[in-house]
Amino acid sequence: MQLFLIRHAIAEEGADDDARALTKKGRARFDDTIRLLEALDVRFDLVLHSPKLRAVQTAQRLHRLVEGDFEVTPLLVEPPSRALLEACEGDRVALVGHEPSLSALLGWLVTGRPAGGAFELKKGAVACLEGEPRPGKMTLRWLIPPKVARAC
Amino acid sequence: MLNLAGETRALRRLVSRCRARGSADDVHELRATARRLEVYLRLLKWQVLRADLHRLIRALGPLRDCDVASQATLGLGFEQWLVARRAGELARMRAELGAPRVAALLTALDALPGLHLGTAKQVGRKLEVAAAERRGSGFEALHRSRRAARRARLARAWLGEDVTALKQRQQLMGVACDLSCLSRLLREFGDERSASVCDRGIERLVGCFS
Repeated sequence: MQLFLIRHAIAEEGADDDARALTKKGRARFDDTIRLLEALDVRFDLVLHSPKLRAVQTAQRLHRLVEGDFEVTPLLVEPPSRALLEACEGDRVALVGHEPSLSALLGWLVTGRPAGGAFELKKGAVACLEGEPRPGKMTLRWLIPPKVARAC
Repeated sequence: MLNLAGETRALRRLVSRCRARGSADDVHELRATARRLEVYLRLLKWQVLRADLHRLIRALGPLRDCDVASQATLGLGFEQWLVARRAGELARMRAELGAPRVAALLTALDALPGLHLGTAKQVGRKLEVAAAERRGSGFEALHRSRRAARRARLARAWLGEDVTALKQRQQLMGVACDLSCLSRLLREFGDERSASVCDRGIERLVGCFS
């Protein structure tokens, strides 16, 4: 399967962490990333996203690339877990979430150990992994930071 | 005009009430509130969270069917059968509403942004056109028409527009849909007992309307 780890785009600051919306800059930059994903013919069967507004809005912006369902899950606001991996049903699944969980998940899937510091996911970055969604069983195919998407 | 904060608060309260008590009114109100919010997401032109709300509405469906069918007095042991069936459905619904993903859905809905009136009106008009164009025969087509009329009515309610005509149309179709739900449950009851019991139930049901 292909698993896409997507960090939410740039969001405004605010006291209520659940209700921080994307900024205009965040939306524009993430749209550059979406255009690049579209050009790469990336499509999703399932998009799992965190309930925080910035992740919900980031997931919504992906809608053109979605050929299946969206699903909100609390597992994306927690440290990476086997329950999260079990929820990844499909051949092309996207997870829209937050740091430091996403880079820890990336490290766990690629190396088998929670190696969050080994990878950097900027806001709006997308990492594509292939293989079995089990610790140490996936290969990192590519990682697109927003700066690269903007330059394309 | 509906109020977003009021609706999301109501959804949270009704989820708790359905888990604790699960009366027919609680179930009906929770489904209605979830549907209002689903239409709000359509007016926002959002695809996210809609499948989660649909899952919630579907989880309550079998319980609501029992409540609708229990309004008919047919005898034959059907009422007792419904009570036992409802108890099983209530346990299933409580487990579903207690799932962490429902709590996540409530968190996400709490932070929904306001409507952009121009976009919302455009979507509302499209929903009305879709409701007016729904045609076809048979109960499935009728269910689809009723759902389309309900979406158009709820869009109007969010936009503060008059809903009288759409409400009347939807209620008329509702009577027929409730009958189809009752006859389906009667058939299931008949499958468990005997076909003749089911036939007598349908005869009595027809008698109520002739």
